[in-house]
Amino acid sequence: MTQPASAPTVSTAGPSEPLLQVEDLRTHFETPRGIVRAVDGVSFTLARGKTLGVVGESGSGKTVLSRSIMGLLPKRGTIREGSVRFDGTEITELSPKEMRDFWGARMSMIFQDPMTSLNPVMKIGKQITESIRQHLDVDKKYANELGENLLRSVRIPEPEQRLKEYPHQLSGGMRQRVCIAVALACGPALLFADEPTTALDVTVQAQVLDLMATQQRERFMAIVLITHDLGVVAGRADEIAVMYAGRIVEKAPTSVLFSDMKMPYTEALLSSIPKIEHPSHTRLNTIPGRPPNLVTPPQGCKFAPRCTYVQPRCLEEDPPLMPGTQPGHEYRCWFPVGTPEGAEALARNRADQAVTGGAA
Amino acid sequence: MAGSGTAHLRGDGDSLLRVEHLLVEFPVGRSGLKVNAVTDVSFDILEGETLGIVGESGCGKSTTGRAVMQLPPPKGGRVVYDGVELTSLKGEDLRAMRPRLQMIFQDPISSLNPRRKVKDIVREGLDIWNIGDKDSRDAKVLEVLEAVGIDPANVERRPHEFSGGQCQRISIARAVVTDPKLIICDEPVSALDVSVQAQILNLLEDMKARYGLTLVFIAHDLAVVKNVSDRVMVMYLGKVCEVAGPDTLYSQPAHPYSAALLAAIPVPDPGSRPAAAASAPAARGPSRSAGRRSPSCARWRQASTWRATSRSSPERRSPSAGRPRCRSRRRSRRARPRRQSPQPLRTWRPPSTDAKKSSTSSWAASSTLT
Repeated sequence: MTQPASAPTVSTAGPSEPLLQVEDLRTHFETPRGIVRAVDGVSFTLARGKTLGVVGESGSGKTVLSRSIMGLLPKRGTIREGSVRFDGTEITELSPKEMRDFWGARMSMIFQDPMTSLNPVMKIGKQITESIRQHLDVDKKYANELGENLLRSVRIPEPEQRLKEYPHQLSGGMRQRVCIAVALACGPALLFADEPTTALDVTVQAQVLDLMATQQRERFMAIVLITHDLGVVAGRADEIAVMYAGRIVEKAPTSVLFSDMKMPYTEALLSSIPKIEHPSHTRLNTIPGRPPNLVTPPQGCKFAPRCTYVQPRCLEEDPPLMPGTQPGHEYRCWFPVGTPEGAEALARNRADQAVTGGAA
Repeated sequence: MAGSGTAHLRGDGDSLLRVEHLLVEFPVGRSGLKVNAVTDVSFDILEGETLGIVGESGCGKSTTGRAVMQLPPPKGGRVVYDGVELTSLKGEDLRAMRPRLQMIFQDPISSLNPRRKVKDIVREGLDIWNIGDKDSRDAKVLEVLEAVGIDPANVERRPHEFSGGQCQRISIARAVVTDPKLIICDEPVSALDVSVQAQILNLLEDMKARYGLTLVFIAHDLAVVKNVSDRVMVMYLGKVCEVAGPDTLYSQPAHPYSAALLAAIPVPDPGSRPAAAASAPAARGPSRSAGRRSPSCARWRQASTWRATSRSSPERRSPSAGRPRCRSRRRSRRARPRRQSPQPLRTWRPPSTDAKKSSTSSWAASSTLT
């Protein structure tokens, strides 16, 4: 099962070049309300076999980012700028026809909702073998065998039976496994998982994530794991990018992000999750307000209107991505968490709040 | 039968809602078979308490909530709400009880009528029951919307103009406007982002304090349930596995299924991968018997293997009524020797009653612990 994964990925890229290199990617949509800056200057690199977790609230541009990289957005009304190099090839310039050699074969995607991402009037077997027959030069019988093996590898019992069934005959977890099997069919080098477990329960979620990790090891596949739950990426990703208002606001190796987070948004996101070790009826910390309007984003730091560390400078100057003390750590903040400036800013805001609160 | 005890019920007089031996069945096509969605479930809720119900999808937690609401009425058992036996009511009498029991649904956007204005959606209950005059109804609607954090300037808007979190706030406003005592929240935060989820959970606590509500909180996220609940009921395949206070349940889960559910939660801390947690059980619960392998340790190991098995939930067709057995047995590795014996069900012996004395929580199917 491991060999087909690497077979079609012969390329001009040297071994040192990362699999995916995104530079200053901007994806804007033209709408009647104005231009929506859904992705606004995102850069990252992803090596083979590694996992990048992308975390953010809904509307932060995570899904648009993944679709923009894959070239799945409609041409009309979409402005895409920047560079996406996949395995040594610049893919932003390619036409949809040329992209077909990449889709399914070399990069594929798992969507959030397993109920709607499978074709309800097509048998499971046909949906899995479709891309195998398209991309690999195999006959129908062999494609069916491959399909059966794929279903077995995603741990679906009685695969030969399931191939002849329709999606509605399977449970949600089973359907998501089928989606994974479809995505893995041609042994892609890069897998986008867009909220793969949001629609599933905890036990099934753990199974699906474990399954993705196993497949990743066996196929030496890179994964971009998109989620709003920091708990999901904590144990799974090598690196985490936190997105807010179409930008990466903090990016760090997983252990660094959790031990030494600098961005107040990351801190706020983490503290709003109910923790199992807290006693019941613990009041949760919330992030006040809502994500900014991406048509007319605020001047300065985009998170400033909701930030507890906010200072006058934040409202005027937009912070650039600054390197942290540890390698690979970057963040956008003038008054980072865990630094003297940050502590001072927070203390000042708390004092101001106490004064205005007392006056009122 | 395993999973059908009533030992966890408290005194008869002081509970707001008391459910005894609830039974819900659905027919499977015209085959004559039926699905036992909920089998012999009993629980009670005191006034002002929050009962959390957790379990996987398909375990019957929503069906239990709906059966309490008599939507549809259960096949068997008793539901006593505020001294009235709902299961015996019909027609107009039952309808008259409806404003006093309300429900909040999972998908906030599809549970609101897209063609109506927010103020009309919230007002509808008052209009139907002719509560107060026109002005007092308007005032009440504004008061409730304000309480849930919706700007009164936006009451002329329709649901699609609001975000998911705001729609859930409107659903909560709609539920509390008729002054119910009991609200059944069916996965109210499952469709929301973590940051919005925190806002809604805090709001539910506020509303509970402000309007003196009693809540049934159904969810599959154990951390969320722990945050809001005074008591937690774990369900599996239409039965109760365990009922306990949240702190007891989460520190010392008595039933292996509860332990497996706990082990499956992704923790936002890279140091404690779920698998790593499974190998370090000592920190989670004290061992209960000296000189023997700690039961909590055995459960934790099982919890991790449980996750690894991809066996789907056993089928619930072909009723097993009358056969005493633990429903989670089929997915439990420890039960494997029994599963392989030619007549697995008959070799099984009911659990000894001693096992129940060792913990404050009551659980069903304690056989796997002995």
